[in-house]
Amino acid sequence: MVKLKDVRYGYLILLALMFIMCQVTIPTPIPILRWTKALYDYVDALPAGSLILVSNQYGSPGPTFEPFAHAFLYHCFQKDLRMIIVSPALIFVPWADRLLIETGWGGGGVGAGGKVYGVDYVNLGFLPGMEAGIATLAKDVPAVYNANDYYGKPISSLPIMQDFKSATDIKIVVIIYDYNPEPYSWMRQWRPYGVPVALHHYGGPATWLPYWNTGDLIGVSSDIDGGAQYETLVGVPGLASALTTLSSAFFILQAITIVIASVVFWYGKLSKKKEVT
Amino acid sequence: MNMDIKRTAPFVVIAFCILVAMASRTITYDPLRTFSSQLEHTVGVLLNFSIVVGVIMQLWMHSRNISNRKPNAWGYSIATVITFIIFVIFALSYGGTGSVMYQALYKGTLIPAHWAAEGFLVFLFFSATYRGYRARSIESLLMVVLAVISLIACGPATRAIFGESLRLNAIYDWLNAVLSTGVNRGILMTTMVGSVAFMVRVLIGKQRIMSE
Repeated sequence: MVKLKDVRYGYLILLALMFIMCQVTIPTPIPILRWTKALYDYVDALPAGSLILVSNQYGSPGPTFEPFAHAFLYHCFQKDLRMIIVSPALIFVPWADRLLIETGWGGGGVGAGGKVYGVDYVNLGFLPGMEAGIATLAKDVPAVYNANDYYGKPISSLPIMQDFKSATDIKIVVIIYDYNPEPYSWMRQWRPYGVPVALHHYGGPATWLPYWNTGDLIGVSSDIDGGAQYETLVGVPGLASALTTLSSAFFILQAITIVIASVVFWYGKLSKKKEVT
Repeated sequence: MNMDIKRTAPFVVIAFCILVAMASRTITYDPLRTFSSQLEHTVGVLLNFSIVVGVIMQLWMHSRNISNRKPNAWGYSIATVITFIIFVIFALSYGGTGSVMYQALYKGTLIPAHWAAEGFLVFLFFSATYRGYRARSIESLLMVVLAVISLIACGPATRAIFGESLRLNAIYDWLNAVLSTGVNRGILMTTMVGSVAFMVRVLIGKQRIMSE
């Protein structure tokens, strides 16, 4: 029993489980959660040409963020929404360009679907100043972005920027959150202007659901599961949908691990008591 | 500079900034609001300078590690400094961060390294689950039961199978809407009250340093 306490056995089981689940395809249902559906419904109801702001705060190609980012940008593409991307996390600034290219919007030029840079979308690049920067952007966009965009084009030459002067011009802010500034900053600085804020984040939704319950977040999407749900909602199954079996297995394994940990703990404690008596 | 002034000046600046920010949000007076807005812009610029200072401090620390041959550290410091120099060269050369070379470097090294580090998180979560969630007492038993319910309710497959039959969806909704929201509100309110108390202490000069 003492040997069972070694966490490396757990690592081995986890590794084997991941390997098997990546090789075997088990069709797994993807139930849609209300908070993910709320985001989808809100975006889906926006009229064509509405301005939305995406805060790119991630930079990894894995299933935690990428499937949601792809599905969401695809949704905006289909709905003919106009998109503004900012990157408040310095390290992930070049990622927005890759995302725009991969989703067909085009990286600074004309995209696959005929989206024109500067008219239908813009990549403004780094948003400095963390929460202070977010607050200033809400009040006065030219105060933050007044020279060039990410691609070095003059901001004044971009027609889309004529319609984006402050927070009130934006219909929704969607944060893809892996790295600071925290979503609280957006909620604190943009909600007073009446701008709905939505979030895709890593981990479980428990931390953010209280904000969804109170209406401070209009939608919440969590990790691979959120990505899979959004893929299902827009009808384009991708990486996250394919990994639903794996994530389900991990949830089950974690639940079993918790039970085993408690059983092992009490077995060890009671055995010691017996030895003493 | 006199030692007292050295210690007092930052607090005067902090107090001034706080008062201006508070006043601009409570008093409708355009020049004050304009001044507050300009102050916020200045803070934004200063924050960017702090990045430069941070980079210099990091380089200084790693240079010292290398020159002192610090055990178990100087090898990593060499790697850090070399990587930094390579990134700076490509970022400042023709095309900047949008150049093909910089993009290749960014996507070929930084992103895979970041992703590999994230991959290890699975094992960290597993280890933390095993070590952290043990029913040592009645309180922790409650936490363990809630964790198991949440995990089963969160997993897509288990949610689809047991969500309705075991009423897990309803239980999970209640946990989120009542318990989690209530606790989060409590934490948020107490944190904010603590922040206000801290600011008041700073304003009246009772709080000299953060760690006091």
